[in-house]
Amino acid sequence: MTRRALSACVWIGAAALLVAGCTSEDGGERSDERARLRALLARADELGARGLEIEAVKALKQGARSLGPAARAEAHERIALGYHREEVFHLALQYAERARAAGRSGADLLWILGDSQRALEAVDEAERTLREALRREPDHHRARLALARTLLRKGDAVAALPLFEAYFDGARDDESERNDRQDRSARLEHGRALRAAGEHQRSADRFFELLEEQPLDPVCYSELARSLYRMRQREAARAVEEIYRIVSQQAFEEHVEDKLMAVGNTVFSLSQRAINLSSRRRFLEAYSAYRKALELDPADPRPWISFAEFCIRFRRLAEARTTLDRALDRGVRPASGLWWMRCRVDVELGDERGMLDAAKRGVEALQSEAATAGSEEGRAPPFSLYLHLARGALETGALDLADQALRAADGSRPGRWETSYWRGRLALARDDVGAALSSFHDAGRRRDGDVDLDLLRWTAEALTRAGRPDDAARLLEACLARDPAHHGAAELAGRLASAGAAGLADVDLRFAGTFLEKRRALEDALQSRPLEECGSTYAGLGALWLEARRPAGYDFLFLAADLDPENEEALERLLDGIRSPQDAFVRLHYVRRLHALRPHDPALVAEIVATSIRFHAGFDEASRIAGALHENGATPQSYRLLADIALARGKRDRALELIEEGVTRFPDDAGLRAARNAVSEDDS
Amino acid sequence: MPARTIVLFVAFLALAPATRGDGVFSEVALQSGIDFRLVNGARGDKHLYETMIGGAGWLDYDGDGWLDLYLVQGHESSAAAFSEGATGNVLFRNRGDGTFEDVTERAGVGDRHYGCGVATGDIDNDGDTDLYVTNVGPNVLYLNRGDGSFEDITERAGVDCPRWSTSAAFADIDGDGLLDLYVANYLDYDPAIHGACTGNPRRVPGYCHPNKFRGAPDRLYLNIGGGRFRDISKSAGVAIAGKILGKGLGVLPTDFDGDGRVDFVVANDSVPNFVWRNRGDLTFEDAGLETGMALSSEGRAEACMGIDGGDVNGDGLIDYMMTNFSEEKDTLYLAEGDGFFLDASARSGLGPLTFRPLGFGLGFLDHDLDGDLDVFIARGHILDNITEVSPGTTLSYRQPDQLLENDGSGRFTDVSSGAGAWFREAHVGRAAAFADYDNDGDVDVVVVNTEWRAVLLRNDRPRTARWLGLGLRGNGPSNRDATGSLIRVKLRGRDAVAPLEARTAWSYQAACDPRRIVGLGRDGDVEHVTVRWPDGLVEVFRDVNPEAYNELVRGTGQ
Repeated sequence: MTRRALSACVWIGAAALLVAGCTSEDGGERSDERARLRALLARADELGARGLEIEAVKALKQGARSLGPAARAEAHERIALGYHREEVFHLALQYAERARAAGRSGADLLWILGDSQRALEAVDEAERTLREALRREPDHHRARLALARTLLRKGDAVAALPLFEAYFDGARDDESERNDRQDRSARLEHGRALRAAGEHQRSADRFFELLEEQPLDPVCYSELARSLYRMRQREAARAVEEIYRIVSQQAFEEHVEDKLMAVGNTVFSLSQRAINLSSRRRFLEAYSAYRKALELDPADPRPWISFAEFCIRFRRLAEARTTLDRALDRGVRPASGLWWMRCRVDVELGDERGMLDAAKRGVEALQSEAATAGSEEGRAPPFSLYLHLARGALETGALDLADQALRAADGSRPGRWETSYWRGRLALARDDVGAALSSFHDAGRRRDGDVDLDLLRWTAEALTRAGRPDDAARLLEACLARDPAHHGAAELAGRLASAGAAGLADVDLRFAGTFLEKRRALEDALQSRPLEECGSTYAGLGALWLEARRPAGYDFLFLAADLDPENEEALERLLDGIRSPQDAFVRLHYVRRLHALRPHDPALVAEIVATSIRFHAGFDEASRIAGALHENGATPQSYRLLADIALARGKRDRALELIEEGVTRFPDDAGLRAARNAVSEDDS
Repeated sequence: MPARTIVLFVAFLALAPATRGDGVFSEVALQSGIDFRLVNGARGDKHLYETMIGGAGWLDYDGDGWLDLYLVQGHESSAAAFSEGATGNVLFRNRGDGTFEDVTERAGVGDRHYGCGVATGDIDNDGDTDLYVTNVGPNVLYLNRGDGSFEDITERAGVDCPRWSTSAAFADIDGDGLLDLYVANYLDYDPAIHGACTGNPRRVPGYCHPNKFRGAPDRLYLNIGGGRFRDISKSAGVAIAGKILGKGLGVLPTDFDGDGRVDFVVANDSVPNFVWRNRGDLTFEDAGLETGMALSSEGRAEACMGIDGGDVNGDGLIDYMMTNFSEEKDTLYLAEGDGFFLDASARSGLGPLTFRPLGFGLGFLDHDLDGDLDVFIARGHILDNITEVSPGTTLSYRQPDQLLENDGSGRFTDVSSGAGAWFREAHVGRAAAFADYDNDGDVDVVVVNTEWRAVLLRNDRPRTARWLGLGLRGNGPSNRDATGSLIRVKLRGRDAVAPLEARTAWSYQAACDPRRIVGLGRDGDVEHVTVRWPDGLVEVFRDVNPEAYNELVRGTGQ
């Protein structure tokens, strides 16, 4: 722009401001309206940036009512964008059409309109609209992507492919246009387009790459399997299909998440998202989804309860308690479920008095809720609440109250083992050892042979008091064999061992004490710090849990690995536990992450190559990684890895060439010679 | 050797009663004596089967050459659906003059279970058609005695399958000449435990999504002769179920891979469809994902209900279509060859035409006899209180049925508005059963509607094109119905050879006309018909007559 043109622009702009701001009363109103619109759009963008698009839409709808036609049309366009971002396409279409009818006609609006038409199956209209968007703005990357997807649906994959590729090139240069969801959809669709165009290997590579990134995405498994079937790689395809069948168990819950968002229930959608992310072991993102949901101050107790449960799982007990107190202070109803969850938090905190108070409040709330109409959703489960009341009463010495609570629990769900167990505990508190043993026996019978460690421990206590220490010791031995960190069992076992009971000689009675000590230290460190700063603590907790053979330790490690991506120890421990065939891609994900920290670790490279070969995909990347290892210092293994990839790609001559080169360089390596023989035999 | 020609075209239309028609199809149920209202016994408990039942089957039970109609009834108490009720199924005998009479009692087929669907086939190869009724609760097998009455042989046959069964299909899976039985089961549902769901903004009781329940395993019964069957579901590999498996609503016996053995495609609700490839050793493997028919083009398991197969684009390969939920287009899986299929819903035009409404019964039919397969879909939503459950929705419970016209290349347009007054009414359609009940050479449709009467849509389109009717009769190593045969009709002067499969099971909870009608266009003529019989024998029949039904008997061709 020349200096003269620039000054002209400045002059025109200033004049426009004068006209808008200082002339007539109408002009003042318009200016005020523009200001309100700007504020409204800024607020919407701020909500959108926090991932609360539907809340942005709600704010815009509210604000747009008082705007004039032109400003309202702009607000409608932004509403359409919000709906589009959340994939509520029928409403995106509706608002885009309204905006268009009111005179808006930019490429952005046409893109929203066209892409919504595509999603709603109106592919011919979509093509027309998107071509118009691109005519107006030839470099509109998202419109190009939407057109590529439309053409793919219309069966013209060959025409779609260059559009996809142009999108990837263009959008890569323009970071502002990219977002993770869109980028992932684009790559997924690109993979489908490649398959539809007959480029099966490239399509498989695409899905393989997506699975590496998000190894619990069922759609990518089904797509990879389909590409492999097309390539007649039946064994690999079947293996992928098997994983698909397991992973896709969650597909419905994801559908629920989308549906809830589509009907404007952001809080429940975010809570459902958190649950879904948890089942995908993406705990950090789950935590973030919960936090977003609670920022919206839901009036329903369930999101609060669900978050508190998540906090208990990750030992953030102070945060769980604060969250529940916040909900109770704000008058969230029905309250009984919140009080019940408070009981559970207090159990974990070892706060018997708090648990008793919370249980009493919960029971009061439950009784008043039962007397009034209203939803039962979010209420406390009566049986569990009465058990907590009994426990709190028992542990604070209010034995008659405990007795009453147990009767109430039995009335709520007769014949449950838990009631018998707590009756046994109550009998012990009353020094009625015979009754205690009878109740514990009854509880065991009701569990039908399924062992509960606390039941074992307290039966042992009763047996000890009944003068049968050897029988007690046998139970404690069994208990500690299953959970060496069971502190109550270890404590009693220690006492019995000191008294000379038989059978406890081989049990490590100190482990539980050490475990408890370390656990307390680590958990204390979690309470006062934001989650984001707790990566190393979770790594420590994970290691500790696994030392005690508690599988939940892996959850801590998954979280630790996300909080602290460079924690090699956490990644290594995780990989130790991820070994089943169905976790092949989960494992690959973490192998790749560890490989990023140790690019020349031959074992990691070998595993990446082996996975690639097993699933017959991702050869370029495997080749690049093995090549880097080779360049860093050729070894017999690096030759074999490169040759293996060449073989899997059907390049037998290249494989042989590599092996020959390797043999020349490492003539004593038996592995290379064996590989040469194998390839030569195949040739003959 | 000439095929036997049965000219049944009678001056029938002149005798036909006055109708409500003003287009292709005239609704003639009441005038024809078919007065049947589907009762679901709903009392507000929202048991899911209340909204899923409704079956219909065409069969010539008395062998008089006119197809009779069997309609499957629910009963007055859905809470007691696993027990018998007061209302029962009804058999309407086609008098041959356009009217029907209720012969249920005489025939002894008035099963009073809470009924879902029906399958037909000659299980003992004695020349008459037997009936299998699917229920919520025990199913029933009626053996046709050949004297106008049936015998309930369920117990002896061992096919009661006391689950919630939906569609069923007879087909000879092992080529022994006896029809075996596939039963699609839907959900593990217990009315004492399950009921309404309130997970909606207003928390009003509504029907639950099927994914709240475990799928029920399908059943495969091997016909071992003497009216007895053996349950081989587990050994055959088809009895798989779970949260994401096996919620069958539609079943189609078909040879999708062209290997001469009958396979089954099962339309599952909200979980991946099954494509049971027959390995030829009484075992099956699911090739759903492999073929591309398990999921939609976007990798989603759709809520599939009805199903049919036919060559919609004239490439000589059989394509498949399934009806789905609202805001989920009905899906056309176009055969690409080599056993692979592609979701071609968008390119076929079906996407936008079928995206909004919810479909159940489905059939390919050449309603205008122009030589390509058009589509009829019975429509109606699941949720009777959809406006309460989904505030602000523009969807409705009652929806008009749809007729979609093929342009010959597999591209469809909606011609419902000109198809007759019925298509402008909105009801809650479930089963749609297809047959030429008046033997005039075009396909008519019966539709069962929830809590409304069944309708009979007679095809009255002014005749501008010729037709060819084909009925197959197997013998020897082939089952008598010749179910599983592949028919190819070579038209004079044209390259394309349209494949047709002989079967009665398609659509949703329905049994259809065993004969096939081929539209010949204005002046089309037939060069020959090739039949690949279920036992593998291939015969050519040259002496076939257009404008008539031709009975092709195994062993009489070239």
